[in-house]
Amino acid sequence: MSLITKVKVARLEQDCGAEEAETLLEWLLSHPAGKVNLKRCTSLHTAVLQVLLACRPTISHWPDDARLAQLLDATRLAR
Amino acid sequence: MNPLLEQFLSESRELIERSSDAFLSLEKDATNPDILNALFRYVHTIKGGSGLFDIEPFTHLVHVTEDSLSRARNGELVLDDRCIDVYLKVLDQLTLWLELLEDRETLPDEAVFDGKRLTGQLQEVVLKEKTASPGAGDNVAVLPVAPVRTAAESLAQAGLSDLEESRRTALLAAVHGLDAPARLVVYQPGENAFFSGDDPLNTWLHVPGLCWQFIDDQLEDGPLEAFDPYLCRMRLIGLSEAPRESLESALGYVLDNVTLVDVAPSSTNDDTPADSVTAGASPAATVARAQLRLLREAATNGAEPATLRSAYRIVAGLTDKAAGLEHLTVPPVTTETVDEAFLGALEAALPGIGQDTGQQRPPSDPAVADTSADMLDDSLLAGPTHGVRDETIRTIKVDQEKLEQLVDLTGELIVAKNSMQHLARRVEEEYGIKQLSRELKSEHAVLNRISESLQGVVMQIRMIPVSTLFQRFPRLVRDLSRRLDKKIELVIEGEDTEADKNIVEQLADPLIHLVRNSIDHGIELPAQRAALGKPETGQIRLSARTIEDSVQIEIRDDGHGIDPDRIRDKAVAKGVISAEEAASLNDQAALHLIFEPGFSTCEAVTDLSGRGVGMDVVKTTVTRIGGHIDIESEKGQGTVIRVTLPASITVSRVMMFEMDGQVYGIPVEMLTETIKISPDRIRKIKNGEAYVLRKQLIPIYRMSRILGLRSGAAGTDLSILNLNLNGQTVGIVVDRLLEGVDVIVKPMEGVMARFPIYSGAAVLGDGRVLLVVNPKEIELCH
Repeated sequence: MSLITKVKVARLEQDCGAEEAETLLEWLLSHPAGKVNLKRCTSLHTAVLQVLLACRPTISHWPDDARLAQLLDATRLAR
Repeated sequence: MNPLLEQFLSESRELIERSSDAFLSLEKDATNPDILNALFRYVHTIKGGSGLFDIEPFTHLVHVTEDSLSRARNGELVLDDRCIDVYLKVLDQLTLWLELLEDRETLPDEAVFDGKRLTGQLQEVVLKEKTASPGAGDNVAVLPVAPVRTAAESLAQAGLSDLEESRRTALLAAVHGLDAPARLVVYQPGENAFFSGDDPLNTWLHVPGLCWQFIDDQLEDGPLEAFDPYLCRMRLIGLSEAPRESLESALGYVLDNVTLVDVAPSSTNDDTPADSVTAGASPAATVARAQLRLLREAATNGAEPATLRSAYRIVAGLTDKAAGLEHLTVPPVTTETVDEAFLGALEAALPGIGQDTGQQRPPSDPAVADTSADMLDDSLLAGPTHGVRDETIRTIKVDQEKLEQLVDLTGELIVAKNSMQHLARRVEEEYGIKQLSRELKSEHAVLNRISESLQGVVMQIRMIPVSTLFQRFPRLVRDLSRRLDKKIELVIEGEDTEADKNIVEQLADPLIHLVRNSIDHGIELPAQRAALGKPETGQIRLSARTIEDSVQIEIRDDGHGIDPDRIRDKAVAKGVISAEEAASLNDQAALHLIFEPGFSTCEAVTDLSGRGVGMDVVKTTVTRIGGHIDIESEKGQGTVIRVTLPASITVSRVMMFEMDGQVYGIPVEMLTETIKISPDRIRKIKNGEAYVLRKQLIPIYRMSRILGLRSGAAGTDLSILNLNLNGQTVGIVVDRLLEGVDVIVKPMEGVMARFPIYSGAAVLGDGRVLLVVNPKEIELCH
């Protein structure tokens, strides 16, 4: 599982495929104040990024992966 | 017509012409990367322009062409002769469409079908894809082709014109901060990209050399419940320093959805010399403002060190070039923090930059961002159209009609100038005021000098290189030789030689005819050539050169030449001349028989060179524009045809004379001298008259008889014009000799065109019409 949802935080880890997008969207809809932790995420499918961009949750941790961090910095999610 | 369309038409025509040449060179060297690159650029530029207009079939066809060229450039395809055939057909279709566009500003309905047919052929022959037959309509319409976007359009429509201000400014800064030309990559995946297995973000990660990027979500505002994460609404924008090829290979699978635009950093851009920054102060002010804005934003929100560095670098560059910024001390470009003191100084300096008065906008004015956007557009546009722009900047395209007007007006000025001479004479003769007459004459001299220089310049403007004429021949030779199964190499020389536009244009048809003749009748079939010990590939050499005031165009082939005996036989058989006449003709004169009306030597009438009606038309045309045609041929060795033409139709100087109260003129070139003799010096010899001048017997013709007029001067001394007709001096008796005058001789029109004795007419300074006699006809008339 690369998407682990807790009460307040959804954790995206390693390679997040397209299928996680729907799950993440549902979780964010039911947890409007939920945060997203990307620390251990190494790649995101575009659909997942779209969900993040649509919902704009607070990002609790940015990815350690430099390339992904750089990519996310180039989006409206940027810190 | 819409000026934009007008420019598109002329630019595209030029590019199609060049593409056509390039395709022909490609035929000899199918993998030459330079030619392929040039071709790609031409087609790409045409596509860019076409996107601005609602001409979908055109754009689509160019797009598929561009696509295939791009693949050929990447080495995925090798373009053989068949492919070139298809490409040339495409160019023909495009040319046709351009003409239609010029006429009615829109494409006809059938253009869709024509376009589909050609894209079908491109896919089948060039791309080697299986396509449905063109008749199947809709199937063909679903082509794997991206929505067409280029610099202008990508910015205007799908592109970056809607990019939010801050990103736009940042992109602008990144472009300015570039050290070398780079490419702007805009990747707009289709909505259903995810369903075809694409992950745009993952693809994007592989784009090399990105120095700036922005992942633009284009999500609509709306209830999150209705949000569909599987509809792709992304646009990925980047500025990459990687070469185009590696970008194309990285984005290979999605290239249809990618727009690549070359961007040059403004500081190294040749199109914007440093002076322009000083001269037009507003760009400098705009750039400075954009940087200030960027730095301010960075100060409040924090920014990437690269952004700061580039902003500093740009301002530092400006201080050298824009007035009002010299005193600024820019922090070292390595500074990674925002220097507040510097910001203050920059802001204070802004209103004083250059002469940008009255249009100062506060930095928060959104219009500033618009201006910077415009600048960005410009620098982006400078990319793909670079080569073309360089040339168009140096030349102005002027409507031919305006040029004709200028020529006519200059002519009228010269004629009007002549009237001063009349005036001076009347002042002296009728009013007896010598002083005023002298002054008028000296004023006339000044006016004369100026109008002559003007004339020279105008005529220079009208000069165009014969290359405009020659460039159609590679295609003609290629097409015809293939149709006739002949192997022919065309060599073109001296295409820079210049001649008057009218002459070059009028020469087009005769020249085509002559070249066709060489292909059709001159060059033998490869087998015949081999049997004769000649190389299989025949050669046609088309050359132009300037000889004094004339231009000589030579068409030389190494075919089987013309047999004078066969010409004689044919001429007799066709009743062009009698057998005795034929026998008395030398070989050279016999060759000239081919220019006689109704002469054809080719046994089989072909659809190429027609039925022999051409050569006499060629000769007539050449003679009409004041030239002459010459032929040389050696049996088995080839034929040379030389067409010699005046380089320009200029003002001609004519000698005026009076007949029966009416003025006439004769070109001074033919005139050797004017003389008055007493009538008793005339000797009767048989039916003719002659007189002796410097121990030489000179035949005399009476102009009154030639022109069928009464002679007005009897009994007094005879005024004689001595002309040089074909090397022989001939005296022409006229009523009265008048002065020489500069006139622009216009050819006769209408009813008068049937009288070859007059080469034309001109209007004199006092409004009278001067008929100019054609000396060559005098002998014939006598």
